[in-house]
Amino acid sequence: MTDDPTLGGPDPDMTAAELAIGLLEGEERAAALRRVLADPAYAREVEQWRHRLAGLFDDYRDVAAPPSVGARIAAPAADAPRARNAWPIVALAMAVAAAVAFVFVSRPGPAPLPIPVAQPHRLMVASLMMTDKSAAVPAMIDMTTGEMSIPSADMAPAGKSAQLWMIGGDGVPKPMGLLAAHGASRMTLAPDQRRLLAAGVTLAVSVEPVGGSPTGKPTGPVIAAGKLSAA
Amino acid sequence: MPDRPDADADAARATLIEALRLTGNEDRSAFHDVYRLTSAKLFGICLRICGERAGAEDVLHEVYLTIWKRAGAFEPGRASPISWLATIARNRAIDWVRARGVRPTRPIEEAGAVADDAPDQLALAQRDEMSRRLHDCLDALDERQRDAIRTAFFDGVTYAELAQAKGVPLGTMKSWVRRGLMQLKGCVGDD
Repeated sequence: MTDDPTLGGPDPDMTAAELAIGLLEGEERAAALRRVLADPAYAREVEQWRHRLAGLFDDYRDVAAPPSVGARIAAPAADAPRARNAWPIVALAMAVAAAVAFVFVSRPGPAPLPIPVAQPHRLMVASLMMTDKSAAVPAMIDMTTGEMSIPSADMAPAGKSAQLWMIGGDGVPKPMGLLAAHGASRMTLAPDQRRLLAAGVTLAVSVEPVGGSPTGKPTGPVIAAGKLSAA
Repeated sequence: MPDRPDADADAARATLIEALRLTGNEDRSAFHDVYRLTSAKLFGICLRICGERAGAEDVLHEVYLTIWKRAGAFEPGRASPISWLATIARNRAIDWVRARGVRPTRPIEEAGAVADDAPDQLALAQRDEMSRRLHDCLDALDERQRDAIRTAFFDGVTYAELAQAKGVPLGTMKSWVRRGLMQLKGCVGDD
């Protein structure tokens, strides 16, 4: 193939585009996702690629949706989703989309959550949308080691701490730790904490007195939140 | 460029943005408008990627539940509404196929021919400036590169699946796609 003019020299690094398109799988995909979470410029590049390629959506042929779907969406079903919290495992493409573009701040619901051990994925991610919609902050958890990382966000105002919580199916916030006042936050979650994490669990950040909530429950305003999904 | 198609497209976009905004406020009737305006496009995407009707219908249902939940997070300044919705549909369809671990051998007939042939006039008229530029730039690519990129996008396949479908080694396929994407980036630009 060396005489092929389109194949000379090393390939350019196009992983941002490859991730946006969905070409990657396995470790390559996981590595690209980690980079999205760690590198805002790279995340922007992925989003730019989505934007750049969006014109291709024009070329999908329209096909009339079956009436059954319209019927399922109408009538009481449309009320259900907002109260429901149990979702199938959300795969990486959606996680990336959430990290760079689409964010949903969840409302805790009563439905049982998936059991973490049932999930084949090692990484879990959440995109913590600032309540004022000013930014989305990615959180990543390595479920094998319990290491959690959140890039520099400086969320808390001066003289306060930003505290991270998990909110599962019972709707009760459980403290996960304090975010660093400056720079990236890294913490290692205990196995007990890890066991509670699953797709659909909400991570939220509240403003608390320095050193964290004195009551064990959030006392200040929630400034960011997002749902965990498997990566 | 004739004014009318663009003006119509702008009006349609504004209608959809407003329907999404109201859906974010839990307005059921607006949600039905979103469904009415977009379900044929999103079902076409689901069908093409899932490759079977029953799966595509399930995915489409999930897609609209997602839209109902997330409509409030849509930011008109960041993406066109139909691209935002189409991205949700495409990603969920890809998730469905990959979770299932089985890839349809070929797209089912009604979703099969994307505009590999000459797209019809309506489709051309509906393209906005950005889309027209993308298509011009795709047309300027080497045929194999263009075909690989288009197939990857439309079918939502991985490199391995793409290489197998086109009958070329994985490394060759990656080179085609990467070089094509590189050229595409230079041609389309950043805005």
